[in-house]
Amino acid sequence: MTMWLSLLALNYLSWACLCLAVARHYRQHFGVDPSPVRSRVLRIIGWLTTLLAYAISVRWRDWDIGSVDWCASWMLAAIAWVLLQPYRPRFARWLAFVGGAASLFALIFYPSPTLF
Amino acid sequence: MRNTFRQSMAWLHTWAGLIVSWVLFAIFLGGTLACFDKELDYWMRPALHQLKPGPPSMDAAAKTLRGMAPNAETLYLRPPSDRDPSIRGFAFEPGKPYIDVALNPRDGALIPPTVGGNFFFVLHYNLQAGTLGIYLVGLAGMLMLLALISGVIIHRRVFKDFFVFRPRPGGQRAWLDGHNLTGVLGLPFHLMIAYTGVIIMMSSYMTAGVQIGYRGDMARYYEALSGTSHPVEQHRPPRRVASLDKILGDAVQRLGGAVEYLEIEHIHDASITISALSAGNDEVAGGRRNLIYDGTEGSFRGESEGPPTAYRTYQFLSGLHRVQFGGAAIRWLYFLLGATGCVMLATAAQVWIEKRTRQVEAAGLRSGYGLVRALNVGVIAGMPLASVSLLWANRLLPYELAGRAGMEAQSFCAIWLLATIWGVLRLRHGKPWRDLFGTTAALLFALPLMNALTQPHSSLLASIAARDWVLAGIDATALAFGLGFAWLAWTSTRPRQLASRDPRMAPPRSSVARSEAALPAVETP
Repeated sequence: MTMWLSLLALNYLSWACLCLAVARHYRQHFGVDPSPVRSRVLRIIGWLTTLLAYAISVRWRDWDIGSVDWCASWMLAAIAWVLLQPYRPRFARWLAFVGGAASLFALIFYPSPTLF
Repeated sequence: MRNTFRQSMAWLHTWAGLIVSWVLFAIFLGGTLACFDKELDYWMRPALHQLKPGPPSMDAAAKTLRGMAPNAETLYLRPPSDRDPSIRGFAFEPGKPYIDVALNPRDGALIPPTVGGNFFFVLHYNLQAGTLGIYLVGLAGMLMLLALISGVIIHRRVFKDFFVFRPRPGGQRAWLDGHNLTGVLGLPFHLMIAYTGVIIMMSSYMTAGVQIGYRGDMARYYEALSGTSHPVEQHRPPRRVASLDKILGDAVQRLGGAVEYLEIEHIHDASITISALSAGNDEVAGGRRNLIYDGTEGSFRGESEGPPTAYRTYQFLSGLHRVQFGGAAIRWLYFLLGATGCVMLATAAQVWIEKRTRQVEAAGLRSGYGLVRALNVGVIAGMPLASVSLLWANRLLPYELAGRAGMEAQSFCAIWLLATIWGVLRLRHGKPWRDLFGTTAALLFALPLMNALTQPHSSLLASIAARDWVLAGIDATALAFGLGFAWLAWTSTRPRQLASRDPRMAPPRSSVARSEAALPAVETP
């Protein structure tokens, strides 16, 4: 269960970052254009969390099932973010931040026995 | 006529999509529900809900099955699993209908028949229409692959509009955004499911290889594919039949995991052979190990050679589609992705109508447009209603009734037909979508209540108390989907909202103008 939640939360965080790295969406959320540095940082965090989620799922359930786990949660996280952001933008961002932080915390301090 | 490549692709996407969209919707909804076919099987067989703990008796089950099919050469028994506590028996007698029964795992007694969750599985792969249905589904799957690829080509702003969903402007824009969103973000899933779905049945669709290589002998072809050989008949009856329970216990120990099937071959001959096929749920491709036992002594003979690489590849592709690996969580993800596929198809049908509002109004109901509208409401709103009705019929039909399973299936069809007729009659004056979605919501909400009244021991509260999460999960999911359908009914009642609720999310005026200019992301042919 923890693994599933972390996987979904990390993928969700990565989509949120990749989306906010686009000036058009950043403007919709904050009303101003992002600075180029901020845009690049968001994009890098987005891709890194995607990679991290993939590494975790492969480590967890091997190449075949791990890839399916990652891909399925990756798509669902994207759909969740895109559906949530026009209705509840603040909550959508909050969820990305808290979910991502909680899953990183869980992965570092309570490593699952199947993972490490 | 169609000047550019993109325009011809738009034409292809529109029409290849439209003609199969209703069949595809039925296939998608059936497949989505079939993610939990064994769980639904369990829910629909209340006789299994009060089982006392204990070991399964495969021998008793085999005895019942032999009594039902005295002339069958081969019997298959599926031992109980976490998902389904019954023993399933399969047998085939020449010239008689295929036998597929659920047996009590304690005493092997026959459990009152039901179509079970298997109904949706069969609907998913042949629309309950036999071989013809298999070809129809294959055609729909191939056209879906066409529609997916042409859809990506004509979507001019795949990356620019990747994160865009604008529910508020209403009308065509919101439907198109919904269609693009579920189509683009779910694309890896849709491509995978359409491709592997066609591959699973490939030996029915591409028969040239079997015709030439095996002179059309399917049995010999499958034998060569799976790498298993059959025992040679000795033409005398067996002295005795070994205990299946002992064999199952031994096989579980040797495999270090669950057994998917016990296969009893040549049951009337001294060459009787029993093999145990591993479930292999820790691999996408599923089981590959097959243990072989002597059918008279019960002694272990050896392990058959694993399937050849070509067949293993096939197993991997069909395993990706059938999702028997990796536990309940991955099935939930497939279920949700399948639901987004249904949304993709439903919004597509709506976009087609919304794009042609003026022609639809001018042509009236007695026209091709009217037919499309009727099929939309009949299939997209009618099939969910019929699916819930199947669960209702399962609880309301008396258990002693002869031909009970057939009557469940008939009630599914009857409700679907009635819903379609109602929807068509209300198209002219009234709100057919609201009526059907509202009824579906009501039936879903009332399902746990009806379950508690007809089967007090299987109610939501009782199953939570008994920590039977499969049973409780189905009632709880019905409540959740009841909320969803109530929302759908409500949105198809109220007039379109144009006001923006959160000013922060409203895009600046200039960007509205820009995106309006680029509105036809999918061109009208």
